[in-house]
Amino acid sequence: MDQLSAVCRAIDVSALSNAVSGFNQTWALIQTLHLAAMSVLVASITTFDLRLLGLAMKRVSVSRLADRLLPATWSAFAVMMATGGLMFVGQAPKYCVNWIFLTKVVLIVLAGLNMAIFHFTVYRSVSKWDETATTPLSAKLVGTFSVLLWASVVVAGRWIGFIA
Amino acid sequence: MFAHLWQWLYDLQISATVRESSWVFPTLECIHLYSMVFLIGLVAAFDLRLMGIALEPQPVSYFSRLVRRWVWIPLGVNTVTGTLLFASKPMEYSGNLAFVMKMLFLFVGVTYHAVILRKADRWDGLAKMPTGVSVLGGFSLLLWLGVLASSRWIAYVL
Repeated sequence: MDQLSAVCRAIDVSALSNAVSGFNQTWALIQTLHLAAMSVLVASITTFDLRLLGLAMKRVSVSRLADRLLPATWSAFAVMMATGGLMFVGQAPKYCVNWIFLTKVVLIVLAGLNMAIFHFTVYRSVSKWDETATTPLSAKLVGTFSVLLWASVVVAGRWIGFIA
Repeated sequence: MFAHLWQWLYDLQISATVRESSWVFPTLECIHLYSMVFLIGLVAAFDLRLMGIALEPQPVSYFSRLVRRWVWIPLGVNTVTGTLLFASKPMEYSGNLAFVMKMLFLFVGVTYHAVILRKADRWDGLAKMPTGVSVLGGFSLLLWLGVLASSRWIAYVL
């Protein structure tokens, strides 16, 4: 934990950190882009989850929907990492001790794990249930976890500000 | 000008609940935020399509139909939660420049889409979107970025 504090303090005095937190307009722009990319990220992921749950886009095959949405998801994720990273660098000591921020990071990791597990196990058999409106139970479980995890990430993100 | 209306809103029992409870306001805000995700996501998909960036290889009418079918849910949720949030402190919010700008951006954005969504189908079947149409899409995205930026700015002005 001490090493983490030391790293955070080191980041705090770096030039990039000062550049990011020194100007309110910069901070505003970074946060706005973070919100915009978050919308694309969570909306695209949740759309796919709703397909897994058989609640939306039932006429589109699962694999085709995945192929179409993934570029948007990955682009948005890249912007999220960039803007989120900049914000973290801007006020590292503050975030390092903010338990909501740490929870949010854990939730994102869990959401990623959920998607990875899905991709390497359940999704392998997709050709068998690609066109059907109903998907295997395991796919529905993954979809449910995904919706809940990403909703929690959004809420945790907002909550960070409450525990400033 | 709207002083009586703001006072009436403020005096409502539900406004008092939002104001005085420790969890109602943050909960409403989180619902507002989560619903916004889908509002922006839907609208952005359509605007990007106007700019020739198709998230799905579908004609413009596919996206306009998608928006017209689903946007009511997040729009409705945001209107209800937004009104409740506003009613807790109408005087403060109506005097908050960031909030006023957000409402302006929203008004222009929603009106703009109401008009464009109906006409969008005429741009089906084009291999490449005309520059003018791309500009329309880009302008709309900027409007919604304005909504996001002014929303986030509200807390800093209060």
